[in-house]
Amino acid sequence: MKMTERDEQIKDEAALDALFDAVRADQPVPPAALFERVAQDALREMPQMAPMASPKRRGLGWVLAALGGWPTVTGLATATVAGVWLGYTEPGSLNAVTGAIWPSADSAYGLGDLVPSYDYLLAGDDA
Amino acid sequence: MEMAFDAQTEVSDEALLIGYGNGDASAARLLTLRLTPRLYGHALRVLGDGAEAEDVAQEAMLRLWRIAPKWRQGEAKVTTWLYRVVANLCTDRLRKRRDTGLDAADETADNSPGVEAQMLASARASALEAALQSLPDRQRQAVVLRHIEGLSNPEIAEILEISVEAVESLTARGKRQLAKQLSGQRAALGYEDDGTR
Repeated sequence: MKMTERDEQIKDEAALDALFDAVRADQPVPPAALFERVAQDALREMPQMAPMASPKRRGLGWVLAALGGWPTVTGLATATVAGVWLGYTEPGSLNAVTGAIWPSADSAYGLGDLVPSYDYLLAGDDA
Repeated sequence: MEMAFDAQTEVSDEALLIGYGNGDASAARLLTLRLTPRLYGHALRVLGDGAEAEDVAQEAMLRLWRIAPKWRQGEAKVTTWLYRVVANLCTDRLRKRRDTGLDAADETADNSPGVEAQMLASARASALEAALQSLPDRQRQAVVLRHIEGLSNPEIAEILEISVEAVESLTARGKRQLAKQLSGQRAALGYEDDGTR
C-alpha cells in the first residue's frame, strides 16, 4: 500500500518528538572553565556588608557618656571626697546638730509625751 | 558532576539570590552550579557555537550578580529573567552575524557530522541541532524553550515578550519546519520502519 502524504507527516512528527526526547536527555555540559569564570564574577561583584559597629565599648568612655560627661563626674568626685573627709574628721559642730535632732537618754520623751491620751487611759484604770 | 550536590538543596533560586545580595558566597556557588548549565545549553542551541554560548551564559550570570542587591522579591522568576537576558543576548549576536555576513548556522548545517561515525543518540542530537539552525531566530528560541527546555507557553511568552498565542504559532510553525527538514533523514537516524523512538 502506498504511503500517503499524511502518513509521512505523522512519521516525521513522531521522529521529531523522539529527537526532542533524545536531545533533552543529553544536555550539553558547560566547560569547567565557564563555571570558574562565573564563580569569579560572582565573588568580585558580591555586595560587601557594611561593617557592624562592635557591641563592646572600649575603656570607660561609655560610663562617662552615660553619666552625662565630665562636669557630672567632677561633681560626683567632689561629693565623694567630701563624704570621706566628713567620715574621718567628725567635726564637733555636727554633734550639735545630731543632738538637736536626736535627744540624749535623760531627756528622752516618754510615751505620754507622744500619745497624750495614754496618761488619761492609765488614770481611768486607777479609778 | 557537582550538580548532584545542588540537586539535594531545596532552597529556591530567589532565596539564594537574596542570600548572595547579602554577601553569602555559598549562595553564589549554588546559583552558579544550578543556572549556568541551563543558560549555556539554551545559548548553544540557539547560537550553534560553544564559545559564543559561553560568553552569553557568563554575561547573563554577570547581570544577575549585579541586579541581586536590587532584586524585587516575587516580581519575576529568576530563571525567566535569566532566559530573557539570554534570549536578548542571542538575538543581538545573531543580528550582528547577519550584519557582518558571518553565519555560523550555515557553517553548522554544511558541516553536519557523518552519522556513521557517531553513536546514534549523538547523531540524532546533531541532526536536530543542525535543523534548528535553519529556523528563523524567534522560532528557534521558542522551539528550544518549549520542546527542549520544557518551559510552559506563558513563561516563554514572558521571556520573549510576546503573547501566548504568538508563542503557540511560533512553536507550531517551527515544529512543522523541523519535521520537514528532517524527513529525509529518518532512515539514517533510525526512525524509518517503526515510526517511533
